[in-house]
Amino acid sequence: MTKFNRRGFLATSGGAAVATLAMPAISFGQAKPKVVVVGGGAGGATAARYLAKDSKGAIDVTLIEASKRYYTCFFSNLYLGGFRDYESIGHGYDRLAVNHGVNVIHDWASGVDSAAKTVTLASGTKVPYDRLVLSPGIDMKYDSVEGYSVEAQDSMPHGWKSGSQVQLIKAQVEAMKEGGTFVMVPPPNPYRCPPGPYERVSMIAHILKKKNPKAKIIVLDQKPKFSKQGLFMEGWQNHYPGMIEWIGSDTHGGIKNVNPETLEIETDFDTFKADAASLVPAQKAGTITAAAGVTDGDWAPIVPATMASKADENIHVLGDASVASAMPKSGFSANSQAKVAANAIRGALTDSKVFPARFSNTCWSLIDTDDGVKVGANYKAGEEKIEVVDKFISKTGEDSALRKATYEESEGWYAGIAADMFS
Amino acid sequence: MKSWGGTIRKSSKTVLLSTVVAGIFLGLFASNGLALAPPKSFKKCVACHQVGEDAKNTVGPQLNALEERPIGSVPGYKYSKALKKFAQENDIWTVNTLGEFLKKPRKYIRGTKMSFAGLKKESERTELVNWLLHTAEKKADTSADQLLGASAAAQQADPEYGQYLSGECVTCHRPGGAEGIPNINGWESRNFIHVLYEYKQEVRKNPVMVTVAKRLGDEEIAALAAYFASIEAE
Ligand SMILES: Cc1cc2nc3c(=O)[nH]c(=O)nc-3n(C[C@H](O)[C@H](O)[C@H](O)COP(=O)(O)OP(=O)(O)OC[C@H]3O[C@@H](n4cnc5c(N)ncnc54)[C@H](O)[C@@H]3O)c2cc1C
Repeated sequence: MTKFNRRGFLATSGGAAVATLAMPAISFGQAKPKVVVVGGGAGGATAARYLAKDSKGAIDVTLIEASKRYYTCFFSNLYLGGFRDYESIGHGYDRLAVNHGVNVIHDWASGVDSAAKTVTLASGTKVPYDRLVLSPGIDMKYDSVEGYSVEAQDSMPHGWKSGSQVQLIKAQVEAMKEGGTFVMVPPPNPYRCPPGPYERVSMIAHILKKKNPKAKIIVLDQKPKFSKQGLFMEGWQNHYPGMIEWIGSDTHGGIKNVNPETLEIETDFDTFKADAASLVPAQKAGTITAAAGVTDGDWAPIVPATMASKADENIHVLGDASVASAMPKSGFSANSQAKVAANAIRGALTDSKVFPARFSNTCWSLIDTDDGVKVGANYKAGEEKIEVVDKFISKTGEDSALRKATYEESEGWYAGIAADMFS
Repeated sequence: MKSWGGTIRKSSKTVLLSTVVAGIFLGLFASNGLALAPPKSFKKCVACHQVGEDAKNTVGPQLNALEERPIGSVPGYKYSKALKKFAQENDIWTVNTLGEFLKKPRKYIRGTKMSFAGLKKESERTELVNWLLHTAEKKADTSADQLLGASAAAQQADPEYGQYLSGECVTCHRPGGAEGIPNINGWESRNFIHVLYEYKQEVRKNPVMVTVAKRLGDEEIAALAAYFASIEAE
């Protein structure tokens, strides 16, 4: 492995600086194929790592990521519930650079010129590519709920992107008055992490049970049913009897508007007044996908076998931003898709073997201490869509030893995927 | 100290000669033609432990003469700190201590490397403990059906394919292992194959692994086994 000057990296990694790594002095005549990855999350970090690691230096890999540190949304609920501290879900990019020679640029990608094959950075720099990988995650559709806005996210935090929002939710739950009401408004489909809102409700209940046992949680869902519903409902009944009330959109008739100042949420059926609230709006693919011209509506359609955009064969879209059909928008899915894309891209740019696409996903959720459940499946690439091969889900009424083992497994998974993205 | 290794070896020399070592089942069970077959539950151990004349340390130490040897004393095996500490307080395994350990290894010896959830059923535990302590090293039969997946083991393994397929494993299986999910680097191929077959046949029931294993054909299993065997365990 090429020696890498860590000091240089740290010193220059602010703003738009490029950390030039492996073999910077290779002759220009035999320029290596270039892959640029935008977004260093579950999809992007994995793609960059596998491209660099498996091509063993034959591909020049650049990762463009806005943040210096990636705080995972996965397990942010466990932070919320007090099972993890915040730093334990934060990860840096230095090992991608040091161990695999990925060029890490901390900047915002503001545009893509797909004819010239360049990515434009906020700093003005243009980065050329042979293949582009976009894994920017989601953006919020703030205007999908009347009264909600970027400003409103301070009083009704969504906490649906990594970062300080989830810390805000935790602070607001903990500061809630005795016997107060927390209102959670989960998003409409499709959205990132289908069981996520309900795990969040569970974790908030876990805190309140200890600190504020008379408090109530009302869930005003923007859909009529939800992922692992039977398991969550059973768990809420067992662990938090009488605390959580879930009201589906069939019952409340839809969210009409919210008032971020008074924390009032009006539905067709009633107006709810919260003492603290979290609202997760509808979502769309991170904006760079639209800038690259690969979206159709809110999301980017892909060719299942390669994860290449249906609109541009030189651009691959991974993770939440893509239309992955049967696969849920999850970190596990994004990580899995990244490996399929990396394999296809290596095959196209070097002469490595290309194997058939195979995808998988498991989403673990924690309901209360040592009560973990999971749902998962594996998938194959159909012509048009990613299709389910086989699937499973935890059962209601499982014994506590199994639930505990499931929780422990989720901890193992977190360690695994973190290493698979960043080590 | 009594050189138990030596005695065992001597007493079973003749045994070795008469041992039928069949195909891929090399050395997992040597035969003296007399001993009791291992109890069913021992299948859960064979991914990581060997017994018999040719038994070697693999993921876990070999299990010969367990009742005679001091705890944590197999040469060449790197025990966890936790087990070494346990060994200072307990000389040898007894029906009680081994039973408690196998009930919930990671609870009984916190920090043990053994990533096995435990044998819940008391009857199974008693049977296994008795066999391990009293019968195992005088050894079992060669019954070929001990190891599953002969058809996969017979396959030519493509290391590149194995590396690609391993992507599906390493989302969860971290090098060195982690709470709840074991290390799979450095496993011997046949043990790896055996365990995947146990999931395929739902002898082991974790639905994540059952789903993974069911989709793997022999070619895939062989490729994966060869790949993980080639990576050094941490
Ligand atoms: C509460 C919650 C719980 C969850 N729990 C789980 C779970 O248990 N298991 C699971 O598998 N998934 C879980 N998820 C889902 C998971 O977090 C996402 O599905 C996953 O992160 C998607 O990966 P991605 O690569 O698409 O996007 P992200 O991981 O969001 O990564 C996108 C990255 O791109 C960067 N970026 C975006 N645009 C630009 C740009 N223009 N220029 C530069 N950088 C840019 C962002 O800064 C970000 O770091 C959970 C989500 C939430 C909200």
